[in-house]
Formats: sequence, structure tokens, C-alpha cells
Amino acid sequence: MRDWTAVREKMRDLLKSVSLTTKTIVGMPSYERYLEHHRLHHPDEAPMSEGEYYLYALKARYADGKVNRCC
Amino acid sequence: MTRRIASILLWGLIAALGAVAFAVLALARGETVNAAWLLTAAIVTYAVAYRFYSRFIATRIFALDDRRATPAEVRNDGKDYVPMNKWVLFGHHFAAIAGAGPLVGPVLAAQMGYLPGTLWILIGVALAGAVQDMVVLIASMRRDGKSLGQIAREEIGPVGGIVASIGTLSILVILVAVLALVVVKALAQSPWGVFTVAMTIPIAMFMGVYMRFIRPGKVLEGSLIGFVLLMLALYFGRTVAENPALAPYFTFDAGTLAILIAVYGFLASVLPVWLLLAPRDYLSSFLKIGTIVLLAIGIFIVMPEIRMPAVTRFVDGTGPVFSGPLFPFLFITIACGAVSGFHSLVASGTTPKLIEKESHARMIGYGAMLMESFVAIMAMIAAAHLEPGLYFAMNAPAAVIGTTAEQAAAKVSEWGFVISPELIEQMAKDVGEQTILSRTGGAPTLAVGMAEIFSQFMAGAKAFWYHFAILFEAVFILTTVDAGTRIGRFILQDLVGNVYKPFARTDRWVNNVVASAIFTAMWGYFVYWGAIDPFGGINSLWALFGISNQMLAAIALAVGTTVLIKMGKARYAWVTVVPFTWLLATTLTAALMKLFSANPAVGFLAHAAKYQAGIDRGEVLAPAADMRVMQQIVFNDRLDAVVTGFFILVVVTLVLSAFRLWYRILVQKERVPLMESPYVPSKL
Repeated sequence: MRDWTAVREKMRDLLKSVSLTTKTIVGMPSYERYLEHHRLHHPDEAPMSEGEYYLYALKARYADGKVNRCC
Repeated sequence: MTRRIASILLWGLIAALGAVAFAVLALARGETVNAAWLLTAAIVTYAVAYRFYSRFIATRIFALDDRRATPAEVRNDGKDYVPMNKWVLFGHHFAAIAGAGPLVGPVLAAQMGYLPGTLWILIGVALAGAVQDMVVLIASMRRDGKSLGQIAREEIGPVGGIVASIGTLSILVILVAVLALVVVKALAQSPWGVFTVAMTIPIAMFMGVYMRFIRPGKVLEGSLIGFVLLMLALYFGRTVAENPALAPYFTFDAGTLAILIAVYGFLASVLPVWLLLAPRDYLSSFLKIGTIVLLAIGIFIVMPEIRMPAVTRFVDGTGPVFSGPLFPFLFITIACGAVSGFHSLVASGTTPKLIEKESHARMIGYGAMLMESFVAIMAMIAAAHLEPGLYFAMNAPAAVIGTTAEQAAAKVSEWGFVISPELIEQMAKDVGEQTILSRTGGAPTLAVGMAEIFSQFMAGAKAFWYHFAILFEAVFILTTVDAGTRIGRFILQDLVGNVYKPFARTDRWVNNVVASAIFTAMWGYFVYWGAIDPFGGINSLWALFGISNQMLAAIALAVGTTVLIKMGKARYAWVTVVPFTWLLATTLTAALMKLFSANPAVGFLAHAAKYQAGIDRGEVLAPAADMRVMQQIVFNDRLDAVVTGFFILVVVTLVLSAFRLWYRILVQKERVPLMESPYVPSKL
């Protein structure tokens, strides 16, 4: 049954990359990437939870005066 | 060497194919042409322009260098500055620049025939629109992602600062107003449409709560649920519209809808972003990309016939959809899709901070604009595929064609576009609307065209696809209304803050509410008046929008030219100078004609004078219903004239300060430093 776990793994990877791509297209950065960045640069601080990070990213994206939509 | 020969052969063949396609389009007289020729002409133009012209700009002018680190690499902070995959960023940038603009302009321009609009879209994008986007993107990328305003201030001088802000603010007012008016015109007397679009508000709020509290940060899940709910709302919209007890609650006239949309815009701009703006933005982005891909597939499978003549007699300026002759008004009517000044604000904001390698700027800047141009071409195909008589019945104002199918059919047939009243009524029934007469604003025409194409290659009734198309346009117009109101509010606070400091503080909710209310009132006024205007509203407002958008493009290209000259590339400056000159010529001619033309159908002041004379004689002139409307018409014409005059002032001020600088550098040989960020070698 090792084949099945491999297939499942592959499907999960595919779903992950689809999710990442669509998220970045709508302007939502990846939480996993943030965790990586955080581990690398601020290893002694606790990272934000996924919910906190979501709000933080929203705030950055829709910051006052930022033009991110056109006609 | 063989590769070189193969390449020459291949591109020679592509060019020949394009030449054939253009010849077929241009020479077709009296018979229908297949959309395949239009698509071929478009795709060949894009391929040649991208392969040769964008490469010329990338290598010869800017010498894009992958060994030079981009701001995303140098300042990587995991938030604003992040190196992003080229294709993902392409999608992101495209979703940001493409909205309803490229869908509406070509539909309006189709009144002159498909050929003039198509040629302008293709030549315009290759030599003006995509060049502007790419040049601004690169200029901003080499300046840490600074905004166009900041670049203008640093490279040209301080004069621009406040003038640019006031200019952007007034463009925003007109932009939000005209797009909101498109939605209002599409939803008037349409309970199905109103129900579906109204449901997007609770659906978006549910998504917002879901992504914030139930499954924090799960954007894809939330959007999928939202999409399913949206399709249910679309499906049940018909049930609501056919239910005599429910339908009246969702049936509004244009004036009421205009007030509702203004109230909505105000609320949306003061509510927290996670609740309404962000979730709807996601829905809108996915719907946009999905529907555009679907439309492309549909057009390629169905290969619709183009029924509109190549050139109609309305090139002389007497057309019912918008007035004014081909030059300059065609080039004002189609802004987005050929060249859109607003892109320069996006290309100098978020995107340059996400570019991984300098060379990617070519595909993202030039390539994404070619995609937008393709959207405009598809809109042109959808509109030109309709029976021309139907097109004019849908797009001419009631003041011209009357309010019944008989009157409209008679009038439109008189112009030479023969149509029967039965066909008009049948189409209204097919798409599930009470009437399709005088649905100005472009959205309903495009929706009928899309419904025709979709119902030919997929299951589903025309009525469903019609309302799907309306929903799709309304959703991303409303996103622009939200976002535009927020940006406008901020610029307003910033401007007033120069005089009264505390107003600039955006963390005070009182300031936000007051500024939102003022800004909403500004655009709300234009929407309300446009909605009840017997001339259709779009007629004057779309021209103002086109003029302002193209003037912004002229300003962006002036900034681009300045950058090129300062880089020591003055011998290549024609790349930006040619489109700059063209835009300056068309916008100034159009603006001056809108102001001073003696023809009341074109000139605001002549129109005001005509109605003022009526008031003085105590005579009510059609289509005004009474004296009060007469006075309102005169007031609005004069207001439009003031706005137009103001736009002229803004662009002339900025252009003159650029000219002075060019003169100092080129003639007086003065040394003026380029304000680029320093060269940092890339480690990626």
C-alpha cells in the first residue's frame, strides 16, 4: 500500500502549491513562508498564529492609500 | 546560424499571417467576418510586439540585469518586499490592473464599427499602453518601489507634488462614479440582477467571518464556499424575479439604485477590511480570471461571426452611444485595453516590490498589459457579434430611440441597422429581463454577447449566462468602488492635512467617517445625476473618465521620458515621446472640444447655453421633463466643464515643468542627477 501513500503525498503537495499560487495571486502571502522567514531571522521570538498573520497581512495589503486595484 | 534562419522564417511567417488577418478585417465589406481573423490579428500583434519591441526596451534602453539585486531581494522583509515567482506575480499584477474598464470601452466604441476600435486597441497597446506599464514598473523597481508621485517629485521637481495629488483625487471621483453608474444602469428594473448582486454582501461578510474566526487564514476554502453560495444566489435570483410577492422588493429605478450604491460605498469604506473588502476582493479576483479564461475558450470554440460592419457612418460623430468624431473621441472612449494611466499607479506600488529578477519586469510590465488588451478585444468581439440593430437598441439613450420596442426598432432601422420589434422583445425574454432598451453603460451589451457565446458551447440558458456576466462585472466594479473610496478618502485626508494637521490622522475613526462621507458625496453626486440624466449619463461621464485616465498616462509617460533622458538614453526617448505626444494631442483636443465645441451634443458649454436659452424663454426642451430638470442640466454641464478645465490645467502644469527640465538637460547641457537606488549585486 506504499503506492497509495505516495499518491496521497503527491496530491497533498499539488493542493498545497495550487493553494499557494491562488493565494499569492489574490495578494495573500504564504503563512508557511512567513514561519520559515521567522525561524531564520527571529528564532528567539514566538511567531504569530495563522489567524494573527492573516490580519497582519490584510492590514499590510489594504494599508491606507495603497493603490492595488485599477479600473 | 540555422537557429537564426529558423527564427527569421518563423517570425516572417507569423508576420505574414498577421498581415493577411488585418487585410481580411480591413477589406471586408457588406458581409460578416469570422472572429478568427480578429483573434489572429490580435495574437500576431502581441507576439511580434512582445518578441521584438519589449525586448528592445528591456535590453537596449534599460539594460535589465539579473546580476543587479531587486528591491524584493535587498529589502526582503517577508511582507511588502518579497521576491515572488514570475508567473504568480504575473497573475497578481494582471488581477490588479484589469477591471471593468477594458470590458466597457470597446463596447461603446463598437458604434463606429469594429475596425477603428480594434486597430486602436492593438496599435495603442503595443506602442503606448504596454510601454507605459513596463517603463513605470522598471523605473519604480530601480527606486525601491516608489510611487509615481514620488518619482515625479524626485525626478522632475516639487511643483508636481500637490498638483498630482489633487489630479489623482479628481480622477478617482470620476472613475468611481462612472463605474458605479455602469452597475446602476445594468441593475435598473432587474430584480434578478439586484438580488444576486445584493447577496454578494452577506456572502462576502460570511466569508470574512469564516476566514477570520472559523478557519483563520484559509483563503482558498473561504473563497470556494463563497463561490458556491454566489452560484446559488444566481440560480435563486430567477425564482425571486419570477415571484410576484418578492420581486418588487428587488426592483428599483436607476435613481434609487444610485443612492443605494453610494450608501453602500460609504459603509464599505468605513467597515474593517477583513469583513467586506478583502473577501469580496478574493471572489472578484477568482471570478475575473475564471470568466476571462472561460470567455477566451468560448470564443475559440464558437468562433462567432462579427455582424457589426467594419466601419459605420457614426465615425462622423453623430452616433447615439457617445457623441464626437473618431478623432479624438475613439481614443478617449477606449482607454483601458489600449493605454490606461491608472496602471502607472499600480505598476509603481505593490508589484515592483515583489519582482525577483530585473528581467521579469518585461513579462510582468509589458506582458500583463497585452493580456488586458486581449480582454478588450474579446469585449469587442462579444459586442460586434450581436445583431447591429440590437446593439444600437441597447446602447442608444431613450431620448433618441423612445421607450417601446416598436419606436426603437423603427428608429434604429432608419439608421440602416434593420431590426424588428419582435426580435428586441424576444431577446429581453431570453435573458430574463423586462426590457433591454437603452441599457447604456456597456455591461448589459457585453452580457448579452457573452450569453450568446456561452450558451452556444455550454449547457445553460441564455438568461443564466446573462446574469452570470452581469454579476461578474458588478462584483469587480463594486470592488473598485470600495477600494477607490478608500484611496480617495486617504488622499483627501492627506491633502486637507496640509492645512489642518489633525485631519490627516487615519487612526481616528471620526476623520475616516468624515472623509469617507465627503468623498462618497463627491462621486455619489455624479452617479445620481448620471442615473436620472435623460441623456443617459454615460454619455458625458465616460468622456470625462477617458480624458482623465489618458491624461494620467501622458503624465506617466512624461515621467518615463524624464527618466530616459536622465539615464543618458535621449536617443531612444522616442519610445515614450511618441505615445506621450499622441496622448497629449488626443486628450487636449478632446478636452477642448468638450469645453468649447459649438455643437451642443459635444460641447458642455454649448449644451448649457442651449438649455439656458430655453429657461430664459420659459420653454421646456425635450428630453427634460420640467424646469427643475432644465436647471439641473445647465448646472451639471457647467460642473462638467469646470472638471474638464481643471484636468487641462493639471496636465499642462505637469507637462510644462517636465519640458523645462528636458530643456535644461538637453539644450543647456546641465547635469541633473538620476535618483536611482545604488547598484547592489544579486546573491540569488
